Amino acid sequence: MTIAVNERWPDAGCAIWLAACFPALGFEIAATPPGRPAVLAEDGRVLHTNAEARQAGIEAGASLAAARSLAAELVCRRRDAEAERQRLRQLGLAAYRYSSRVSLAWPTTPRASRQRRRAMPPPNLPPAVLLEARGSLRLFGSGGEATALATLLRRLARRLRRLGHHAQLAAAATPLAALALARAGLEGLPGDAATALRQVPLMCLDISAQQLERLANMGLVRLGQVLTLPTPELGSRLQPPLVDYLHRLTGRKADPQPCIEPPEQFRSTVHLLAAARDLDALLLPMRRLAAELAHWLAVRRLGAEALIWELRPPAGPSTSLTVRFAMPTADSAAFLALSRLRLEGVSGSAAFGEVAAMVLCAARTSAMPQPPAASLLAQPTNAGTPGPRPAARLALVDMLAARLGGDAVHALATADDHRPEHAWARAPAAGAMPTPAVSAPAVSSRPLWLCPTPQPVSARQAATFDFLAGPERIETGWWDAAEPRLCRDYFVVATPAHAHCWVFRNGGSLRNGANGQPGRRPAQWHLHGYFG
Amino acid sequence: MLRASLASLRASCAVASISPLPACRCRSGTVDLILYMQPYSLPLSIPYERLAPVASVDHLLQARSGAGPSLWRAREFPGRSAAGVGTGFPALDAVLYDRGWPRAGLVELLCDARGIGELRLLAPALAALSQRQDGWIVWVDPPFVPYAPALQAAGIDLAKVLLVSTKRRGERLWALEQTLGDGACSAVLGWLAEASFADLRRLLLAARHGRAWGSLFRPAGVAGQASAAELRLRLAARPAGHLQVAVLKRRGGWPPTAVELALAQPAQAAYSP
Repeated sequence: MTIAVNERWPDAGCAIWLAACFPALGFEIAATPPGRPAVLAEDGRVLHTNAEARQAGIEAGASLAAARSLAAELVCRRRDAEAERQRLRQLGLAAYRYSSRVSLAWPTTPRASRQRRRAMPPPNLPPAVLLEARGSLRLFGSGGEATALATLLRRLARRLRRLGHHAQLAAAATPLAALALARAGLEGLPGDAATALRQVPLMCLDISAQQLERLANMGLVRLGQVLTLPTPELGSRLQPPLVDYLHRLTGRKADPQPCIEPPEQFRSTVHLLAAARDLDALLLPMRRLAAELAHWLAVRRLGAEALIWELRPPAGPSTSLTVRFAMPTADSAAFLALSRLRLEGVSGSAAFGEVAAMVLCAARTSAMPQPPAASLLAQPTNAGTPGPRPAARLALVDMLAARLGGDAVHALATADDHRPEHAWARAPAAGAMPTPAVSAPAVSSRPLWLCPTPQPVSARQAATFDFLAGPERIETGWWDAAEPRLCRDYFVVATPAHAHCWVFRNGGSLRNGANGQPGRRPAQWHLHGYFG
Repeated sequence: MLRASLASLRASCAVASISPLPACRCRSGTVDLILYMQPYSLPLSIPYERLAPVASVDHLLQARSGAGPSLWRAREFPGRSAAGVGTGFPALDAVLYDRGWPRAGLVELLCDARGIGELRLLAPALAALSQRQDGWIVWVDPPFVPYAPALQAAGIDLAKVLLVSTKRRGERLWALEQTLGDGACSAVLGWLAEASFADLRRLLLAARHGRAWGSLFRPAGVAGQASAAELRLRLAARPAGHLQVAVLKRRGGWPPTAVELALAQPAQAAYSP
């Protein structure tokens, strides 16, 4: 008895599974500069290459050292499996508009084992998105199932291309068969899927490297060869999981797929009986919507990170206002207080006139942070550090951001760069983030006030400076293509009014200034900070 | 003669009792005397009859009624509490009522120039606050970028620093009042050129309510205007990186004094070719 490919397909009543596999997903999400050879690498092995790298002779599977010797200016990116998983989930959500049953196929058997038995392990299988198309074929044309399926495939491919991904698509009667076809790159017509399936190399199946090797030792390289073999003998020769896999692939055994569920969204509308003109009239429906949202969130144990209020006038475009929270919140009073501040800020500038309807959406939701487990033996923790609790601190940030705008409130952070403009950064005030310790040079030589842009100083003014310290040369930034290269000599000077300033001269040579005095050559001076 | 001078003293006190000030200055003969009093108990605190047999002014100064001496010399500023945040400059602490910056109050710093050490004056206290307390240190509309590496080098925890930028004066006052009164901030620094007495009074009340130390940087030209801030300092640069701090108004102290502070100087960055 041999395993027969399901010949009934594509008969009516049988599921149609589409698989879209992304052979270069990791490479596509790693931003690489165009026009230069680039590779994606993991564990010192090249996983994927671009056209320039292939032109230089680099192939997937080569060692990184060999790749670097072939192309000197090679751009190497490390594979980020977690980012790939997240991106795959986003692609699955994008495919959700074509089918209600979408699942993600992530290769279960890692191939690149650390055993040194083979010089080059078979490549890892690319991740894929699976979707059942039978249920939604009717939406894609009425000219018969074949044309509808072709339309669906075309639209899906176009959408994925717009998202920046090259996908290999295939259709078959079972998820595993579609997956195998897509991974093999056999984009054959649905009608001869059964024929195409026999051509699939065994390397494209989701089976372990060990089993692959045993099959190859038996002289089997294509799926068709395996399917003609009698099942009991195959099962005794190889492990039972392989037979199980083949049964699921051919449809003899059910293969239920875990479907992804798009996140729920809250959206509620209130139509006002009489158009409202001012904030007071809006407060009542706002309160209702906020309470509704709070209930919705509480039931799901979620917190909202951002709300969007949509104010619809009787005619014309509606106004959207976003209210952000530094931490997930499910409290209707907090929703109302911040939304009110936000609306007050807008109504001051008279941005909305009459309002006929209000819509409230929860733009982003996430799980509520768990309160720390209360212990009977817990000490009062704020005894050592008096002050407000973190929630109160974040509530203040929310309030300021709601009234003044989201970009008006931020925290400070240091960055690991020796160029003065880049040694600090604005950081979101959402949480206390660890800032890296500043290394050399001695930071006490830095001013407390930094001018956002260096201000030119006239030569006459510069002549009155009393030089206290310097020069300190700050140079380069060659790695940053967007900025001009720096070459500055910084001095600490005192002005006649006894103010201490941080000035620099666009440096060339320091020959005249080696004794700490500026050179004779007239140079343009800039003021970059004050020792406030 | 002493009796006569005390009579004039008493007359002055009677006049002073209608003023809301907690202390009044009287001039008697060649000795400057300050009568320190509890509110509403002024006429009773030094009964004329009891004072009459006192032989010398020294006795008068040592005579104690209630918590403190009945009379004390104006030039001996006692400093009534040690509840403040130490400024890091003992000379300045000595002339401040709280022995430091007030933990819940409003300070005005009047200076026109930049780079004279106006931030270095506050930095030790801000560093101590940021390391000991969880509250924000809010900067409302600073004129330049507070430079993160230098703040960190001064010991200020950057995780507690919050920058707020506003567009209008009304928003600025709102932000100052909210941050001062919220209770989630330990210090608030603001730059405010124009402010009425009522504005400052609101900010002072907010700072007391939220238990925050508010510091307003204002131009030196407003020194003549009335202010509700409990401490007003005028900053002026002196040679060799010194900063002169003139106390224009303080709690519990008279007359105005000035101290000169030596601030931390920028380090000499060595040049290595």
